[in-house]
Amino acid sequence: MEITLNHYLILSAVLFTIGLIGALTRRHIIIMLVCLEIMLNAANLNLIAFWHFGPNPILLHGPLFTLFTIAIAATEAALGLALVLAIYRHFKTVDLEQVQDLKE
Amino acid sequence: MIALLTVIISFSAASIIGFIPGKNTKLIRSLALLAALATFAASLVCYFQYLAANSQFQQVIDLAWIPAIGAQFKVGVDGLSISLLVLTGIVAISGVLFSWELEDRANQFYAYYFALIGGVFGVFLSLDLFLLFVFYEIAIVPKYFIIAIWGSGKKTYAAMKLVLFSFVGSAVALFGLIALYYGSGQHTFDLIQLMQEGEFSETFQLMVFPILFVGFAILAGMWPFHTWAPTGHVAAPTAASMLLAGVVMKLGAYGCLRVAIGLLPYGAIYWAPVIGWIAVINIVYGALIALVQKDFKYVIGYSSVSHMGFVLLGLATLNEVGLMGASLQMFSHGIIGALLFAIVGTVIYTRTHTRQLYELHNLMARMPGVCWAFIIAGLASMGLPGFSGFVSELHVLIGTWNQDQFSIWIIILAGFGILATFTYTLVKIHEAFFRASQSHSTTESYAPMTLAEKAGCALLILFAVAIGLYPKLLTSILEPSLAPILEALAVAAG
Amino acid sequence: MNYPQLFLTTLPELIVVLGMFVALGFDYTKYKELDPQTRSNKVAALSTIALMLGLAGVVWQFLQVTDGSKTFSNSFNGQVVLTPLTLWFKGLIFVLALFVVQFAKTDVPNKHVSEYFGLILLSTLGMGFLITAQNLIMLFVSIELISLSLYGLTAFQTDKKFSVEAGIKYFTIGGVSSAFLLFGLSYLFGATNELSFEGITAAITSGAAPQNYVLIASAFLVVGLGFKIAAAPFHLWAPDTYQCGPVPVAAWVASGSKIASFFLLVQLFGPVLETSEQKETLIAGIVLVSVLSMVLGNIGALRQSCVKRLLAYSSIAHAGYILIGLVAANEDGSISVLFYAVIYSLATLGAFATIGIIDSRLGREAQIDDFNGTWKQNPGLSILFMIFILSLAGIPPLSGFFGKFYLFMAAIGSQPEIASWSEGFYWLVAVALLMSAVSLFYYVKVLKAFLVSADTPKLPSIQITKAEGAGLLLLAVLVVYLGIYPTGLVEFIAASLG
Repeated sequence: MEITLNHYLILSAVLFTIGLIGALTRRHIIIMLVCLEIMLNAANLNLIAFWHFGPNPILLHGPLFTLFTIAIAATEAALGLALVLAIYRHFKTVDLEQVQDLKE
Repeated sequence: MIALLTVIISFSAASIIGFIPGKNTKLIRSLALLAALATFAASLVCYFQYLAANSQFQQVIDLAWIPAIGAQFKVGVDGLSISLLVLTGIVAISGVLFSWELEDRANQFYAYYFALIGGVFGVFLSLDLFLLFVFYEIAIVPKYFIIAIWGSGKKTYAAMKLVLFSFVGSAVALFGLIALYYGSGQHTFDLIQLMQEGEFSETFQLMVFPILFVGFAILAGMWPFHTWAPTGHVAAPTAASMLLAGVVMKLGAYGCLRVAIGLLPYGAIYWAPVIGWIAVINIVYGALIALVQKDFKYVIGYSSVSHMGFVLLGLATLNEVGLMGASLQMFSHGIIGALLFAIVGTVIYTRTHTRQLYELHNLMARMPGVCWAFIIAGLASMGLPGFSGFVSELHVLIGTWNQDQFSIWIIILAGFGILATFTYTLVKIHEAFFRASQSHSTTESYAPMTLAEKAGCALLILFAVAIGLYPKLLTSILEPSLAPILEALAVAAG
Repeated sequence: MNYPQLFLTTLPELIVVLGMFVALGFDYTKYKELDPQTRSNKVAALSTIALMLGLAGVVWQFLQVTDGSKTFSNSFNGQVVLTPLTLWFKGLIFVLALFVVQFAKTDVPNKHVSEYFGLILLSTLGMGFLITAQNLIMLFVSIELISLSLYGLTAFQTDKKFSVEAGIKYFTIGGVSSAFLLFGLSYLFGATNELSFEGITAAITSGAAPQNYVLIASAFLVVGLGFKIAAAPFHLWAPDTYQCGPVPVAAWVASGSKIASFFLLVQLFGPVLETSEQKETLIAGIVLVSVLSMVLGNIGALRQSCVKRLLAYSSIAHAGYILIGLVAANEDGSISVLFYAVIYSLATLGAFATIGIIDSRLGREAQIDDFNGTWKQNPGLSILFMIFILSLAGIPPLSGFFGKFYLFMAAIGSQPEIASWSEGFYWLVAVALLMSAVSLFYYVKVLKAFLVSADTPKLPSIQITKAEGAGLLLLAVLVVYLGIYPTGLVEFIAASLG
């Protein structure tokens, strides 16, 4: 079987969905961070796939964009972990269920 | 330019007085009176200029403003607007006179007061629909503050209700105005250009006319959207009640006449019977509710609703006599409504400290001067010959009689409404002034009217009588202004 | 690569970054021993100088570009394009940042003074870059620069539980929205094989791009940007963030980041909406978001007693109003969106700043009742606040009125001839007008506390620093001026978009 663009797109869509469901349902902040990363990487997979199957792969647009996103994802994770620490200091937990003092 | 002075003076007065420290009440009220007199003088100058040279619109100023939406700064006056300018001037002066004793936050009071008056003047002057709407909305917010700060009773509730009703009304009207902009094919808000060249299709007129009319008529106290009027008028301080009943309700009627009927005559003809029915409901309902009120100010509040019904009925006739009647009734009710509110809200209240009719008794013996003033006002309000109310209501009734689209019941009900007006006026005058009290036996006299109060009453009565005895003062300037609207109606009727 | 050109293109940003490092350096060394308030004043002064120099750089670029003596368009590999319009908006962002710094300096949340201002400066840069971005990479990088700085700022009061909680909420929801955005961008890239806006627009308008990819991309972008502008149903972060972050930060989120996001929306969606075959579907989606925002925002604001939270809901509603201009999908629509974004930011910044002043003097979060009788002790502040709030409510002659009017005109103008009320956008405007009436209720409620109530004020006195006073006054003058004479700005935007 030949692997086409659509296969990659389906895979990335599945990854994105897994990430989204995880981010929406799991209340553990670290797991949520992981889910965010999965979502971003689904998009990265798209970029690479589109680039690879695109008309002019010589331009390196896709990998370029991906490199930037990887760096950004890293900073996002760093900030996320900093927030987790701050949360833990106040709430003594990293479960978002219990971080709900704000009234609606 | 002189007409525009009214707006400029009002807004400058608002900003200058707002910055004077509140303790200098004397300075503040003198300035306020001066500003009100100045606007009145300017409007009188317009009046005489118009008499001298009878053209359609005078003193037109046309400046580029926001070309992106086809709006320009265009103002000018014709007979209809001048009659209302004069009215606003008169009510503004008497409003200041009847608030002469006001000390609490006087600077803020007059700042809001003149901002409101400036907005009102602006609406009457505007010849561009966008500009008209801007002034129309400027007049909304000061009302809230005046009622909420200096009012009485359920003042915040009444103020909020009034503001929301006015705002919803203006929003509905705004919707209609944007439709007009696109419907005309002209992409302009210029009222004169729209009147002369706007080609509104018949379906468009049928769809948009009710929107525009209802939008403006909400401010004119049209049933079933009238409920803001009595509560608002009652809670407001006297000067604001006078302005609201005397002038602000006329803004709505003016918009109905100038914009809705003037631009969409075909729609007006189609919807006239419906408006006619609503108008008589206004008249009869207002009068009947006034009859059963226990609070003196509520009586006057509902009588306003009833009298505005005559304005709407006059508008719905769509013929020369009826429209003339509506225009006269705007002026007449402006004067008389203001006078009634002034006497009940200030003159009687400051002496008796109550507005409940059952607590008032035998006032005739205790404050005869006040009573005579109120009786004159009441008779004028009933439409007795010799007062302005008689002339205007007679016009409206003749106009109604001549309107072929109306069912006979409209005329019968209108007649019944006049009867009801007679009844409640006489009943309330009796209750307040001539009924001897069972429980109280005090007969001590109250203080006589102050100079300011006398001057205010005299000014208002003078105009009510002048128009009543010599209506040509107004009809001569109104006739040429109504002519183009009637012409458009004739064309639309085919 | 042309380095001098690159240097000149990013001159304002370089100045600001340099200023930021100078501020950080001084704060860590020389000011280390000073008390926090003095440090804050000094760091704020340094930031102000940096921003002013940066602004001067923007103005210089603007003058160069407008008289045509220099173009910066090809520098930086086409990542950023400087046109009069983008430079004007970038200048505006810098000006707003100047205001925010003035309001922020009286009440720094904790001892990390220079980081606080540093993050404000960084987010300013992000917004400036976002406006000038002409390439998807630049777009994503600048959006993340803004977002990450703002997450940090929101959670900055690390000693306060609520601030951290709001920060983590903002972060998680914002992170998801960034993922949506990136996923959408990847499809946009896939559909057009281009990263520059110009190339993407050309590919879409010529019909070369596969329509289903464009549709997927647009849907994800709507969701991603919907989060950023706090449009319903993606608005859940906004109330908490506005309420619990430091007030100047809330003001900054509501003003600067809004302008930048709406600018991007117009740039991205303008061409797509005008020509794409998926126009109908997309517009239907945006209309839905718009209606939901107006309804949920205004209804939500009705029951708030905390003023910041109330303004947060009102900002959701305003996002709904602005989207009305976007669905118009014509030139008037784009102009009106940009115009409204500008005047909304001015008014909302002023309103937040006023609340921030009162909050900081009270030492806690102000409820509506806390404003009772403010007119007695500070009539000037009350009048300025009235101007901001009435502009938000859309009362003439303030600019909020004309802004809304113009949005409505544009929407109806996109299809003025209709056979029944369900066609065109008459009904949408009717909904917006109804919701404006609802909004008047809560705006007036706030004003009532300020100007009507005769109660004795809670605070013995409200002292305003000169910088705060001047900032508020200038904002109010702008709000009034743009309401009375909007033509200048409208024509400038029209000519530059043209």
